[in-house]
Amino acid sequence: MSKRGLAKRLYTMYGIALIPLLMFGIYKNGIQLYDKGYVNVWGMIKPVILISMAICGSVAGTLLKNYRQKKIIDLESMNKCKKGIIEALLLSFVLPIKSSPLILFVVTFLFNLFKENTKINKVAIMYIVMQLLNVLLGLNTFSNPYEVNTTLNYDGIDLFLGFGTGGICSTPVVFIILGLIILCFNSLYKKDMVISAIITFLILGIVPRMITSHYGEIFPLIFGYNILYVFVFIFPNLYSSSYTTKGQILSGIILAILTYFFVMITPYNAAMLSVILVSLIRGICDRLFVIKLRSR
Amino acid sequence: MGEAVTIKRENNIKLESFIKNYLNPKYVFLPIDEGYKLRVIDNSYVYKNDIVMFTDKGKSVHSSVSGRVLGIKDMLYSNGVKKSSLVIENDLKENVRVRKSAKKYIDNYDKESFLQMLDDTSFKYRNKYVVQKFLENKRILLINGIELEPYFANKYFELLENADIILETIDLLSNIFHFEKTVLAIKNNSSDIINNFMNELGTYPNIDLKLMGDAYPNGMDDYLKKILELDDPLILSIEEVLGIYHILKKQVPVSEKLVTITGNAVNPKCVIKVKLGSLLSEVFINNFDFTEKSVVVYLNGNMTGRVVDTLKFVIDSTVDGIVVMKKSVKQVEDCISCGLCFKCCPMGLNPKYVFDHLGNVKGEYKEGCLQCGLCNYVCPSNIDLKSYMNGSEKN
Repeated sequence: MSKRGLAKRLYTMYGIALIPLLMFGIYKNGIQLYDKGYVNVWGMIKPVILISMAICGSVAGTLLKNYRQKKIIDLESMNKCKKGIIEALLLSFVLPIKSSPLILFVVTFLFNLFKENTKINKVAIMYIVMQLLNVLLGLNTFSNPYEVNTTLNYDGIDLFLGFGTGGICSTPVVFIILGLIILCFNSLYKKDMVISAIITFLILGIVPRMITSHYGEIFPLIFGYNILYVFVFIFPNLYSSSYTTKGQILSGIILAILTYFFVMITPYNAAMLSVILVSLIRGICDRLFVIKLRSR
Repeated sequence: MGEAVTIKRENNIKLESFIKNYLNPKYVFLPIDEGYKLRVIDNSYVYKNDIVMFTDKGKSVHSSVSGRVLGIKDMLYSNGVKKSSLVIENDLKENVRVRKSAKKYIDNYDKESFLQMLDDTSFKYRNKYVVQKFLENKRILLINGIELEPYFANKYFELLENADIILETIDLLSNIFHFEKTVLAIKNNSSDIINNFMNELGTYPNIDLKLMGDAYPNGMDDYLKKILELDDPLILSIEEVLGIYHILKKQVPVSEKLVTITGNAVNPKCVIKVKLGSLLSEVFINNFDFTEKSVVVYLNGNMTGRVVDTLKFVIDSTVDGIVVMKKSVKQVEDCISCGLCFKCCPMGLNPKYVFDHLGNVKGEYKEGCLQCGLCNYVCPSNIDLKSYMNGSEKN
């Protein structure tokens, strides 16, 4: 089979895989809150506004960049926006609902204006920048108004269905798994690294708690903190992740271990910080196996 | 090691179901390799199969036509190198000095007479003397009947029309050299060829027929022996087997060969039988037309071949055909680190690593590259990885 256009198809599949998450996020952090009287109409549509601003920032940045280079906005530059839109979706889905739409617009605009393909995961960097700004402005809490005002005691099923605390659209584990299945149909999707990361994290999350009988901590850890979302959608970035199969498996294992330890320090940012660190060492992961090839 | 890949072919590229002939070229050109001395002078008359040059070691070059020697001219060959070549003007009479009658059977050759016959006719394939292969004392014989290039069909026609001859020759080789194992590998996608061989194979129990998938690069010698797990076999192509048969049966050198001319910008698309030493441009002009104004011509196929801007090549045993494609703009994009080139490489090499270092890596990273072009084919960014692997990009 010809591989031409596979990259474009991967972005399309990302778009399809993200639709259920988007729907659920709009319901959980918009419609549901409005129904229960926690937010006004503005609050109800805030998830849509945040996502739209991220997309607008990304498109504007990409088009301006192309215009600066070619002095023309053509179909090709519109095509280039596709990747930026997916990155904007991925970023906005994992941010706290309290984030500022204006700041999100500025961040996505600037990153797309100055950086196209980075060796370090671009979505993860944008996320960390956003979170730093959110911390400065006091907007970094992931709980929505309902979660802030209610004492919640979710069980494993609730967390699996996505009713736990997390990013705007990054909580429903069931839809994340569905997205993983969809993406696995594209041969460019680096499923090896995702699967190795998930398996390692499950082992690390479950085994010690089984031994110490802390069963109640298992589901909040493995289904919470946006971890699975980051593993499935953000970690296997084409440009900033390993390309050898063994390198991918190794990266996945390292990512899971780093995330496991970072969760103890900064739970919601653990996976993103780990993604950045792993993308920094991806070259070493690949090189280990390239060098082995020499001795064949 | 990557698995073989099924190459997607364009539906509108269909070859004619017959072989076309162009056996009367105006001129033939015979390369004067190093060490060869001319045996003819300008304006002298040569008969077909006459020795026109020779070496001190007894190697010789035979004329593939009869006609007048015009002199020496620098001509371009498929490897892109110009060589001094003897020019013979074809008188279209096919005169031979001594008309030898063909042998009724070929099975009366022993090892010495067989090697002597190959040596006398200086049978060369891909610039190598075939007789040398038999002096290496290999224990396994592998006959490669798999067409490498996806759009070529030279082997298809050779297999289709010569099943009995091929099996007879392989059997003879097996008996002369006492091979421990004899394997014939063909593609599994042509029921006609398979039926022909299955009907004949009963009388040759020593020949092991292997049916291989229609995938790339199954037809590459080094890859084929690897997937068939044959340890250091003597590999012969179908062209060589048929050449050997021709020499043993008719006791004259091989003077013709099949060439495929195909692509989406040429008409007709067919396999054509030509004289060795013919000019490709002459064959093309007299038999084919471009259907597009702007075309790309791949000499020896679009996978392993190279793009050429002229057809003035002398056809020797290294020319298998051309693929003429409509010119299209392929935009080269940044590497997206997908790793497909690494995953599909039949030799387990890492083209991405070589590309990252712009080809400036130690030889061992490129060692064993088959130049199959599969990395180029799978690359979603249209990067010419093959040129980094063979060092031409660096240069």
